[in-house]
Amino acid sequence: MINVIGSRRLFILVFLIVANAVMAAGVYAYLIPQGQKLETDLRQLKADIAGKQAETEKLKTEYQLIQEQKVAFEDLKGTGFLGHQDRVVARERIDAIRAHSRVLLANYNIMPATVEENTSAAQANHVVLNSPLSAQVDALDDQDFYSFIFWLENGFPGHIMVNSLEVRRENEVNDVTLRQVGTGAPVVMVKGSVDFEWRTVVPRSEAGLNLTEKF
Amino acid sequence: MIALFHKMKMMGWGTALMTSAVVLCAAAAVAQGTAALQEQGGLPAPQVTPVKASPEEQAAYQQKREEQLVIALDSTYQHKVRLGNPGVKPEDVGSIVLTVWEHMLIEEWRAGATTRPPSPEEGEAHSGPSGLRELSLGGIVYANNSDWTIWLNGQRLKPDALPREVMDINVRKKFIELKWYDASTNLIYPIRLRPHQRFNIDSRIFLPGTPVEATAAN
Repeated sequence: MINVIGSRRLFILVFLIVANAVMAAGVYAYLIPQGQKLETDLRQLKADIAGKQAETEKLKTEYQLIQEQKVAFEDLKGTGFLGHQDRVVARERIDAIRAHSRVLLANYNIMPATVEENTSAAQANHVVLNSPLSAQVDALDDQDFYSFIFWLENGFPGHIMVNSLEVRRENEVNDVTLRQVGTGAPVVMVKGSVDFEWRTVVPRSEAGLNLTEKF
Repeated sequence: MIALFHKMKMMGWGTALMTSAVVLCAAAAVAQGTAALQEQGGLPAPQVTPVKASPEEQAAYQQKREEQLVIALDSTYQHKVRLGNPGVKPEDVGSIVLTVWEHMLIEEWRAGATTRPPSPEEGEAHSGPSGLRELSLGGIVYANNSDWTIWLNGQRLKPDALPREVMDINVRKKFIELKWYDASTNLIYPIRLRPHQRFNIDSRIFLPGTPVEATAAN
């Protein structure tokens, strides 16, 4: 065979066979595993990207939630719910409510505050201050009295909860009372009394303030 | 100390000594001034003379304060509305202890409320019922039930010329019967009048004589 093809061609043939074998070995030993490894890395990377995207979405949602909660917190702060139940502010506010609701007279009494434990507030190291509040109101008509209660619930700093309410009529509507009303005299047609609970939230360290002032 | 020594060496000994002397003199001056102030009892207190506010200033302050309170009230209300439903409004409830008519009457009288009680003249003019308060019959000329003439409050009335307050009228030879509508009290008064007789709507009594005769008699 050597004589037929010649030693030179045989050498080239062997060289080509060996080269092919080497290349095949390279493909099987290096390129295929490397490709598999790269595919694995790509899948991992895609999974990581999906994870990061999910995390980003979660962060976006949390951010929006925080923004909403921030607005709600600012509103809550604006209502005075995080206040120390300042009696001077309370007195001024009740006076303003009394004038705004057009009741003739409002005698009120704010009892000393008591500290209440609340699990949600305790997580933030806060406690709830609760001051019972009672008011006796003279009014020209009972709608003014309801207005007084409405504004106490919605215009007073903190949270107000009505415990009991009593309304009674004091006078008859006749010529005499109407004439008195017409002259601007304070005619008491309706008397009412109402008991509230006034609640705010304060840091636990500041809960020991002296809150026993009465009006 | 070593750093200070090196710094003085870098600055030059002459400059360093002069700087030290200036600093020491300044410190001595400050110490002397402080001691003198302490001997005098400290810095003199600022002279503040209290000035009493005029009634106008007090009123202006009070008005401003009330405005601030209303703003604070509204601010709290707005915050609470954003947090949740404020609940039933008083105007949606209406009155419970007063009837609708009583409530309307009170509101009407309150809307016209004055800031002071009226004087007697104003009371007569404004607080009392308005309109004609007295009816007097001057005379009757009677032909038949549909042909007659009467003089009511000095005015000549015939069956086809009656004031709108007269809801019904029945004329006889010696008296008349009429139903008089009083707009200020929203009442209809059935009245029987004879000539030279008058009827006071407020006191609901019959009096003799026309107003002219009554004035002349007085």
